[in-house]
Amino acid sequence: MNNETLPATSSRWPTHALWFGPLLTLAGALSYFLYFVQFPILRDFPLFNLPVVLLGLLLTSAGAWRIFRARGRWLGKAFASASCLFSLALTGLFSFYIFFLSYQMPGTTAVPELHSAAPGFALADQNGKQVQLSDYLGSKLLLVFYRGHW
Amino acid sequence: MVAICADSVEQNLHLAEQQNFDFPILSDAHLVTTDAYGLRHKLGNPMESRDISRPAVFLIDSQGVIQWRYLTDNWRVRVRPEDVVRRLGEMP
Repeated sequence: MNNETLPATSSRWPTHALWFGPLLTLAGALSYFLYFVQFPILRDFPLFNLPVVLLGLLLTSAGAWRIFRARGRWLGKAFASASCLFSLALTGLFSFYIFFLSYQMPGTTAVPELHSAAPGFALADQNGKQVQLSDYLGSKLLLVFYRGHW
Repeated sequence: MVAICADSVEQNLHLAEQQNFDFPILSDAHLVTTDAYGLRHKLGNPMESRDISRPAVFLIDSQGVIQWRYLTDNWRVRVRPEDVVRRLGEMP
């Protein structure tokens, strides 16, 4: 390959994009789970994280496109391919979780209706003390079911 | 406020101490109450191949009657605290 026919470009941005793009995608995806889930508006739809992830992918693609268009060395192209694959896979996984996986719950079975009597319960609290529904008769009760920590 | 999940009493104690929670966290390890409320999520914990409760909130009045409930079709999407506070205020 005759590298001398290439324009003498000193531009390093495609290489930088191939590093920074995947990192941005990773940061966008990870920070959703580590930080942004605590804000309902940014959690219910990833208003902040999805654009960041997509921006990372866009940056990676732009860098790769530039590298492939230039008649560069195979090493640069291999790196561009790997970088692209990483960003694409991560964007795919993140979208898969947000838009498909987290909806995968079975239908509810006979949830007590509004204005019906709440089913009784008697269970041990964190100190092993028995707590039952009737303990709360005479006051309002907020009953919260959650998935647990595992 | 009372929280219910499928974790053990020990796990709930650990959580309460870690987060300084002073409300009761009930252990529904056998999902008896979860089933009574129709909230079993079969194999919802794929890591341990266990059934768990799906997220849900019920507001129960002083007579033991359900006045409001919030279910979700996506485990990422939960009730908003301000909605609970508003509904609590509206409740007789």
